[in-house]
Parts: sequence; structure tokens; C-alpha cells
Amino acid sequence: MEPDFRRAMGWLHTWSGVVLGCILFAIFWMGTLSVFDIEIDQWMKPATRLPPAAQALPLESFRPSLNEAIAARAPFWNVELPNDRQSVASVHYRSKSGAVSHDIDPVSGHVLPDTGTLGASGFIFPFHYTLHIKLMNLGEWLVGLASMAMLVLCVSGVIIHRKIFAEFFTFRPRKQSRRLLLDLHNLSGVLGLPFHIILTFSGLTILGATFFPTGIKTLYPSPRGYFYEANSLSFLNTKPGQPGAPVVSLDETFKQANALWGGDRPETVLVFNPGKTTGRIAFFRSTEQQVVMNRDVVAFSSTTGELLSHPPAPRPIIRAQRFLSGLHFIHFHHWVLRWLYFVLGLGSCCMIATGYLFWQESRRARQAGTFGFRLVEGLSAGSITGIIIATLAFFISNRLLLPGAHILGVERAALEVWCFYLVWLATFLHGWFWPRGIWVSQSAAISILAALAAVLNWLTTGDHPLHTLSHRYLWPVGGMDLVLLAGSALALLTAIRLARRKQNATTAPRQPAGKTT
Amino acid sequence: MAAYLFYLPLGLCLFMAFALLALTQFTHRRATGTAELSTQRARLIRLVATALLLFALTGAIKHENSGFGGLLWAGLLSLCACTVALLLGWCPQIFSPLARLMAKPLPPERPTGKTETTLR
Repeated sequence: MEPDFRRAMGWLHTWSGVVLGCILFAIFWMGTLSVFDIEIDQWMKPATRLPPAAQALPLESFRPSLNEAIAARAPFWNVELPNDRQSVASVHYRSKSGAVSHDIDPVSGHVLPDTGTLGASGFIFPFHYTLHIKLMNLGEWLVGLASMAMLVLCVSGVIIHRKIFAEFFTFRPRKQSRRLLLDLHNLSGVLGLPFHIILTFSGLTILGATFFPTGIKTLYPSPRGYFYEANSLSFLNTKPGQPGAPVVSLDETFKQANALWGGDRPETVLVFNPGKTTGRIAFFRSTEQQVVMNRDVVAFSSTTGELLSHPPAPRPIIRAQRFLSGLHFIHFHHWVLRWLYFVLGLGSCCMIATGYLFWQESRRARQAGTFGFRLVEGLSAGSITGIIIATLAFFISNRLLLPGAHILGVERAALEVWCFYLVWLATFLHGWFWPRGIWVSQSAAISILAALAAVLNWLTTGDHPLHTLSHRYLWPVGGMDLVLLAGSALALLTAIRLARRKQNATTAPRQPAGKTT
Repeated sequence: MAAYLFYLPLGLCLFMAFALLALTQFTHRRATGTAELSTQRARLIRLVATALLLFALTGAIKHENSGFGGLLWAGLLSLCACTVALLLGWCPQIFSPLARLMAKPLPPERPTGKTETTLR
């Protein structure tokens, strides 16, 4: 390969990594946590830690909530039914004052007390693809830019790797830190390459309507048409209608959907325009046994109960889009695959982090005092260990804040989010103003906070790991605690090793110049 | 629980394939304290490793379906390759028996009936 071309690719790899690495780490870290979003929700909402019901609740038991939505003139109302990942049902609708969500006891059908948290599905998952920057959709665009950069980084990384096959399995833990970091970066990059590329590409495809609108504009008269076809929601294409219309029995309409599906259960029931003459009831078939997010939706008129639509088999291009979406969303219930995604996601985080650290180690001797170096050092500390500390602060605040707590008019859920951002900001400032021993101190902080989160869960709910692991329905909580404890141990080990390495470096006699081995 | 028992042999199969591939490389043979393989033997072992990888893919697709099987295979592929690399870095000696076995000469071919007749 031409040396100039390789050098150009090296430049591209280095600078796109340094500039967008912090966003990429945030996206991958939040995406990795989102793999277990429902399980984290159970940890953060102790009221939802309930054993599954022996018999499913009739759909009519959700009628009081539907009536509330009709009274609030909500444009939609939906219920997510219990499954093997979550034992409680949850209802959602949008009123004039904002989105309303309630968790429902799977046995009694009563509304469970609100913990006052966004949880992982309300904060961590949206952070993964919007960075919670809503101004002009800037967050999504930044995620798109970082994803494109990730694909560039993957390709340029393969090009600049001089010995990709000869060093395929090479990892030298006893070598000096720069070599060790490069080995780890190469190892996690090359061996996880299929994962990095597939997940990044599928992520871009999911948000394709935002990033690449031209193709959709060519094929569909409006983006709404694409949205309806891609999500099998053509039944939503209706006029607003007049209020005051009744909503027919949910159980009776479900019987018809059930007959069409050969006995399968729905995962979601949606009532669109509830209480209006143009209202619709739609049943979304469960797709947990396949990778493809094949939205099989049966829709009825909510006023007459008449079957309106049962979409035909999707076109091949939509099926491909749904396969990529399914691959990325992990909508399916496959525990081995779910854990594999989690571990490989951590591998991606490791690759981004080691890339950043290698950049610093290779420049530390020459540029340690310069503004640029200090800027990247603080940036990397805040975006690697900082976001982990901030996430742990989010969990700890969830366990420490009292139910219904509010400060200066800020509600409990928002206070948790404030904790996250304030701690995150503090880690950046720590990195910029006190860079000495930043990695040791932040690793030690991770260790303490992770252990503290697990202990606080025990103290505030009584669910210690021995209890949670001995009850099947509490395994998500026990799993979360074990991962926190394992993370704490790993961070402690890292802090000790880094401190020892630093001490050795300061106490070792300096070798005369020119005699380095 | 019985369904989960499939994943262990699948992972072992992929781990073995990557261990074989890694142990055909000189650096890793040196780390395990064994001599370099002949080109012909290295080629044969790489062929066996490839067959193991394909066997694991077929098994995964047959046990699950093309979607889950393919994903599972691709995910375990990365994980097993990484495990082999980390183990080779930290404690290469655990691969020494396999590395020695790979260098063992193949048993001599049995003389066929035709050659026996010719010898008589």
C-alpha cells in the first residue's frame, strides 16, 4: 500500500478519533447500558419488582386509564403488556401537561406508586441517540456525524494497521503502557470489527430518514408515508374526528386479532384518537422470537370494532430495514445474545478509551504542558471515566432521593438528571484543572460509587444479592448489583495498578539519554 | 436450562478454532515454548480451524435459526478470539499441550493390500 495513502489515513484516524471520541464513547456507553434498559428500570423503580402474574389481566382492566386519556383529550393511549423481561404492564398517554406513564400491578390491575424517575428507558436510552440535545434536532445530527466518523475510523483503522494478520492475537500485558494500550486498541478494534460496523451501520439506517431524506423524498410523497410503511402504521392516516364516541371492548377486538395470529399475544395495544369518531384500536404482535422487528399490526375502528387493516407482507427493502432495526434494538428475548451485546458493547467502549489514552501516551513526553494536550486530557477523562462516574451518580441519586422530593420546583426525576450532568461537568473540570493522577482518582471514584450503589439498593429496599438471586423474578435486580460489584472490583484493581505503575515510574532511577532499551 | 447447554460447546468449538489459528503463528508458538510448524502442517491446521468455524456456524443456525444463529456465531466469534488473545498474553503456558500436540508427527499410513502384494 502507498505510504502516503497510509499516512493520510493515519491522520484521518487520529483526528476524527480525537475530535469525536468523546461523543462516540457517550453513545456506545449509553447504548451498552440500554441493552439492559428494562432491567435497570426495575432496579431504579423498586415498586415494579413484582412476581409475574399466573394469568394475564383482561385488557378491559386498563379501561380506567383509557378513560383518563379520553378525558384529557390525549391523541393516543397505549399499554405495554407484561412479558418475560418485565412483569408489570405500563400505560402511556400524552395530556396537555405532558406525557403520562403509569406502571400497573400485573395481578390486581392497580396503578403502582410512581418512583419519580426516568429510569434507563426514559433517560439512558434516549441519551444514546439524541444526547438529550433537542435544539434543532442537534443531538440526533451529532450522533449521525459521530456514527459516520465511526465507520471512517473502522475502515481507516484497518488500512493503517500494518500487521493486521500477524498481530491478530497479539496482546502484551507486560510491555510498557504505550504498547499495551495500542495492543488493547487493536485487539478490541479488530476482533470486534463486525460488531462495531454492523451496530454503527444499523444505527445510521434507523435514523436514515433524518440523515438521508433524499431517498425517502424520491419514493414517498411525504416522509410521513415512509414512516407509516416502515412501521406498519398506515391505519393512523386518518382525520381528527369528533369527540364523544365510545371505545368498543378491547377484549372483544383482541379476540379477532388473536384469531388472525393463530393464538399469539400482542406486546402493545394502541388506541389512537381515543373517544373520537375516527378512533383506532391497534394490536402489535409480539416479535420477541425473531431478530426482524416485523411489525404485524391489526387495526380496528374503535367505535364499531370493524377490522380496518392487517398489513400485507412487507417489501424486501422494508424487511431489510426491519432486520437491521431488530439487530440494533435487540427487541428479541434471547439472554445469551443480550449478554453478548453487552460484553461487545463494553469492548467498543474499551476500543475508544484505549485509542484516546494511546494518543496521550504517545505525546505525553513532548507535549504534556501544551494547551492542546491538557484540553484533550481533560476531555478524555470527562468522557471516559467521567461519564461512568456520572451514570453511577444517577443511580445513587435514585436510591438516595426521597419519594416526591423536589428542590426549587425541580421534580425528583429531573433532580436525578441534574445529578448526572453536574457530576459529569465536575469530572471534566477535574480533568482540566487537576490532571495529576486523574485516572487513579477517577478509577477509585468509580470503584467506591459502584459499590455504594449496590449497598444503597440493599439498604433502601432490603433486596440484597443473596435475596435477589434466589428469586427468579428478582434476577434483573441481582444481575445489576453483581455487575456493579464486579465493576467496582475491576475499577479498584485498575486504580491500584495505575498507582503502583506511577509510583514505580517516579522512584525508578532515570536512565541516561540515548541508552533506552 | 438445557437449552443453554448448547452455547458452551459452541463457544468451545470457536475457542478451539481460534486457539489452533493462533498457534500456527511463530510468536505464539515461541510464547508456548514449542517449535515452529512446517508450512504444510500450518496449512493443514488452518484448514481444520476453518472447518471448525464453519461447523460452529452450521450448528448455530441449525439450533436457533438463521437470524439468531448468525448473530450468535458472529458475537461468539469476537468474544472467543478475544479470550484466546488475552489468555495468550497473560498465561500462554495453558496452550502448551495443544501446541505440542499440533507439532506431533501424524501416524504413518497403513500399507494397502496392493502394496502388500507388491512387497511379497
